[in-house]
Amino acid sequence: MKNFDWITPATPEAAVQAAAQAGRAFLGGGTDLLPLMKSGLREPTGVVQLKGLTGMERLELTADGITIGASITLAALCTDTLVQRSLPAVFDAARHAATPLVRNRATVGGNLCQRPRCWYFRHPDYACSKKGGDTCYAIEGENKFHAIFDNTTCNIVHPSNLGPAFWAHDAVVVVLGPKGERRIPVAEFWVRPEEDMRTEVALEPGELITSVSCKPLSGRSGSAFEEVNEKQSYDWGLVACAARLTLDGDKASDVRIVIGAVAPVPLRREAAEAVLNGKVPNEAAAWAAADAAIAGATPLRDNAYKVTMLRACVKNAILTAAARARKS
Amino acid sequence: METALKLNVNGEVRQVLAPANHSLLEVLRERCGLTGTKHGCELGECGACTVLLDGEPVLACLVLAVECEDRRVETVEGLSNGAALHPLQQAFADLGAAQCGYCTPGMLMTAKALLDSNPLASEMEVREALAGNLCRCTGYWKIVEAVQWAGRMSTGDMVPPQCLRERNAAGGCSHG
Amino acid sequence: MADTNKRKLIGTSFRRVDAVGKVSGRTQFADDLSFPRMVFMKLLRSPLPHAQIVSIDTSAAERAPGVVGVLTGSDVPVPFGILPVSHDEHALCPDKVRFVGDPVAAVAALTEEQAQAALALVRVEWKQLDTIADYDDALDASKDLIHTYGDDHNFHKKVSLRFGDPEAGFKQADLVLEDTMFFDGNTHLPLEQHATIAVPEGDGRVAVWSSTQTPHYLHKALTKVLGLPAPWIRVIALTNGGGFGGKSDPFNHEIAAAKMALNLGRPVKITLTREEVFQCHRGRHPTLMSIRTGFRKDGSMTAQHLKTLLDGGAYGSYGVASTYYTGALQTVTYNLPHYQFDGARVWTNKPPCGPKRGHGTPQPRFALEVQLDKAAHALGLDPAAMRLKQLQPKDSITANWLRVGSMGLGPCIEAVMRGSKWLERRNAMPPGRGLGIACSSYLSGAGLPINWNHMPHSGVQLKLDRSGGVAVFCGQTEIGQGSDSILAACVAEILGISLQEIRLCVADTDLTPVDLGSYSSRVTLMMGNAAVQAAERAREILARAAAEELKLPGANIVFADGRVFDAADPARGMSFAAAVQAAESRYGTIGTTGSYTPPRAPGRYRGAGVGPSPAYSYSACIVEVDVDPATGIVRVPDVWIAHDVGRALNPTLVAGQVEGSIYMGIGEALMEESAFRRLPEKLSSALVHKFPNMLEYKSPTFLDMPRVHTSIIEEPDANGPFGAKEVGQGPLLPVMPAVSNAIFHALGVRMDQVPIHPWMVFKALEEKRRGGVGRYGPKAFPAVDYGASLDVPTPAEGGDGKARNADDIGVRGGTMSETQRQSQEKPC
Repeated sequence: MKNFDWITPATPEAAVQAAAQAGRAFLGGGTDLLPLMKSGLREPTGVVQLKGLTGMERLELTADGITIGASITLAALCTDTLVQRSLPAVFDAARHAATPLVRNRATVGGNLCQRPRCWYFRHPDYACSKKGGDTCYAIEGENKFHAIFDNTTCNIVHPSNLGPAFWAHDAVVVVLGPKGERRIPVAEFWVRPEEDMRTEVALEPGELITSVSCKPLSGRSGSAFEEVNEKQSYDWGLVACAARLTLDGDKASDVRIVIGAVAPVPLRREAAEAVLNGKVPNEAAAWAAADAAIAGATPLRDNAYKVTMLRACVKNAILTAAARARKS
Repeated sequence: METALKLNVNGEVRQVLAPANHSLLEVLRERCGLTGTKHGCELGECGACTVLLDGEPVLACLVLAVECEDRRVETVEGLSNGAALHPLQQAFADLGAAQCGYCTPGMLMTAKALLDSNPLASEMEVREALAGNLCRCTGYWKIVEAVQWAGRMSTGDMVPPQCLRERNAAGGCSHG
Repeated sequence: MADTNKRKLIGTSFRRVDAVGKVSGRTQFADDLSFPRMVFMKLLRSPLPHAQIVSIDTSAAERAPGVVGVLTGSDVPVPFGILPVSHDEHALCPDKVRFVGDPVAAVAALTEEQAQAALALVRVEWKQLDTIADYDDALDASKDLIHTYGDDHNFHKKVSLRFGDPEAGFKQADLVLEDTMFFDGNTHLPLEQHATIAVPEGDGRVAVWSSTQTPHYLHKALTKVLGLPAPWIRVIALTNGGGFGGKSDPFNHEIAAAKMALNLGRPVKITLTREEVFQCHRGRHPTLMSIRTGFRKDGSMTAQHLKTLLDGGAYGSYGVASTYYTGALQTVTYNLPHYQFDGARVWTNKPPCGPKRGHGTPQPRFALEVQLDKAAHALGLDPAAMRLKQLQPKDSITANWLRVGSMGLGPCIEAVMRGSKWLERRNAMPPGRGLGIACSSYLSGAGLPINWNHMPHSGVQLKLDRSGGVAVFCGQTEIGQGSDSILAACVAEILGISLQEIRLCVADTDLTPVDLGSYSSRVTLMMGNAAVQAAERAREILARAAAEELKLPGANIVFADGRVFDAADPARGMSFAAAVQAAESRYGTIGTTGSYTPPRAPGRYRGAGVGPSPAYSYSACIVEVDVDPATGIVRVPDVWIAHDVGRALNPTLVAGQVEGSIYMGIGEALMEESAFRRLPEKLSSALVHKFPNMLEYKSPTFLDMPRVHTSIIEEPDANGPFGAKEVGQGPLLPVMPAVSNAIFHALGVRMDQVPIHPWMVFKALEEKRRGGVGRYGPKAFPAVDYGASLDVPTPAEGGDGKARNADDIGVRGGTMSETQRQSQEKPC
């Protein structure tokens, strides 16, 4: 890592001010920034510490829903009973991320802002499109872990698993920047490569996430997050799905189905939701919704398996959410 | 440009000079002379560098030394109580939980954090807590056994394995 | 062999002698060492897979801040390599590079960061050559040559051996199966990265401290390259943080560090980054196999023709031996009366492959055990029972002239059948669950040394001190397998003292007798035998002195619990220390040696040197899989493993090696792969390791590890110390085929390839749904001309171990210099 100025502001406002200077990076848990710096992919001249900023570690139920401070670690998130009870998809997503050691440091904000895992992106020798070059190597290269949707310009899969889970709970991302606070519905938080190749999230330079507000479960509802991994720890998801539903009698309503690890952004599958809404969320209905969720997939040379795998993953997420709804 | 840092390592205050871009791992090994904590990958992908930071197991290669001012750092060198091995060290030694020994310091620190809050951790709880520490030698099960044994030793529920073995040897039994 | 009564240590789970050091963080690994005025070295590595070095300009680097020394290939022009027939490596490439990562320059500076920064200032002009990426490229005679030696263009080595009359054997068969299978490459991934510190002594001598499994071979390579008298070079191997064969070659960084240190007159340290460890590699050869076997109705084999094609990477390493190993051990588990083996290794522009745990035997073992499963299915036989009926007998000589001694595979198979309730459960598995069985065998040390000579393979020296302490000197290296502990225990057991009185001095080419190294599972057997001999000699001397001292000439003297006493009257005795003093008073300073050389094997044909061993271990493994056909994900909840170790010198250490082998087998079966990625031509056609980091090169975690049910089977072997055989590699081998067989049992689809990924399961299931065979694996085996076969009559045919046509074939291959002379005219 190249050396840098170490900046320790006390408040989020001070952090934003410090980041106004060019070449500065925010440090949450360091579990993505430091590897990027060690690989030479980021060379900030100043690093602004976010740990310890006032107000960014609160977890509370407010009128906005459950507000999760951006500096809360994944470990804190997946041991919190309020989150487990009221945002089970978020609980699941946090619980299975990375490893316990990473989760002890990794923050909610960092999880949303982490850079893609594409091995062309991560290798310093390849000037891929995302890094300002003119080629996406994955399109004709080795792409077994890459996107099966929206994959004509850049084939990364969005690496955040909290993303789909937050979306299933209609989250709002609260952002602080030089021009003040913005509240961004999570659906608008993701940036496609076609819109802006250089970022995956809708943050302007110098902006930081201060919290995420989620809509908790109420009534007879359940949510779940499922991921399919080759390894049971220390592994990225091959496919993922967050699902939420409410039971109206015995029929599903207010369904959310958001898939992850299959496109450059998390994707909400309204067509799949429409298939499930108003139906008893049993195995047959779940498979039908899953079929709708995978419709339109455009797999690459090496990743057609993801379509089949995603189908099972969506079905499993729906059924787990439904089982939880029945128990609630 | 180096910063003066006051680190609390294993209960001892150490004044070191380190630049901002040095990880806690580098500073422990190269400035504090504490080479017990190992590096395996530098990218937080193996767990060999695990230390406790305010009691929580973290990857020292992904923590900047400058982040640790006035925080409590614990490494494998601080596990034993004077000359007496920590129950975890004793259990690892006697139950074959260390082969090449390179992952061992990281394993011990993660395990210590677990047992400090959950001394009677179940087998699954042990495996989940240690899921971020890789080992290429043991196949993991002896580590699980050692962690559980140590937990029970520390609650007075179990004698050290070596005592058990000596008792068995006197009685003519082999390792149980 | 020592007497086996009343063991105090041997056979018990005594605490390892290095345990306390390792759990307290006191044990020093190479990178933990520091020396005064030490500088740090980094290597500049090729960004291209195959290129000539047109020019190299280090002047800017030499002037960079903190830099104290720079080396290039011209500073270390003498080639080296682990095998005498392939000294094809240079510490720094002098004229061409052969893989991305091949070192071309070394920079030493006051800090690691300064050395790293200076690398960027080295200017290299390259002329790119054809990239040989895989078998197809290697078989293409129009492509550039990677080396100027070899058996045929980009073929490094070709072998063809015929034992008996396979064609006649095939005619006798009721069923002939032919399969093509692929075992992908993978790597050792030791937790500890390679590290070396070279410390010059100021008088022309240099000490090289290194994380190496083979200090003796490193010493030889250093001697050759540095051009110094061998006694001026001292190699000290630190305890390795894992080796698995990845630290068994002499390496560029070790030799460059030594040269730099001598030039600078100050210590030079280099620690490889994890990415560099991937580039060092020396891992498992990706191996394509064609296996054709004739079976009788009862499942026994009449003949086998095995063809292997190894992707060797850019250099020789152990590759010639690896090639032979992909054929050698097919005959030691089940009786195989006629056998043809064709093996070939090609060069490619990737990091060189070498010895990884099992060394060339896991691949053909996979092919054999999966094909046996297919035969059982076709013949309607139980796969376990079928194997039990055709075991190679103990104390026999195989068709390819390997001497089998003790052979406990039968009890191993029975143990895993019992443990897994194989017979009761196999026809009643829940959906998605399957049970698969496979067996294997491994050497307890290679019967021949790498550098052919008549000297011992292991030597142990004892120094007995008046204090009662015993210093044990041996060149062996502790790599985690417990060799330090076995060494100490063998001596302590025979002398009746505790481990606490033993001081080990190991792995130091100045101080310790040669032990060839920690590879081929040789250390327990060979070092153990040498230690036993040295200790028995010491005991004999002390017993004589003690008997005289006690005025009991001719008494039976016992050594136990730190005392030396009369068996008939235990009260009459003395302390061990007093016995040493009694001996020293009578005979002068007491010291003994012991050594071990394996017995000569009966094979006399070219290639017979690979395969023989003083003893073979045996393993049987049953794997239970849980496969979800909807996701293709394979989980392994349980593994039953039985391993014939001859004698378990320490049951906990043995179980640890077994469990660790199962772990590594699961990794190889389901996730580990050294895969390479081509960049698009417009970039550089670079051929880089797809995942040179520990996250994307997948290895099992705590949560991926199956429950392991271990049975330690003991069929003592007269050639082993206290009857012991190996355990460090054998139990790995059956895991991969057992997983494949279990998946077939669960889903009815064949995985003829490892590692097995979900997309392969999907493809096979889809094929089956469409009415096909339901198999994932390579489509075909390429046409390879292996040349004329050496024709070796088997023992059953009354052969003498020699080939009957050795003179007709002539010397093929030969040493590197012989073939280099032959191919002088060929283009580079």
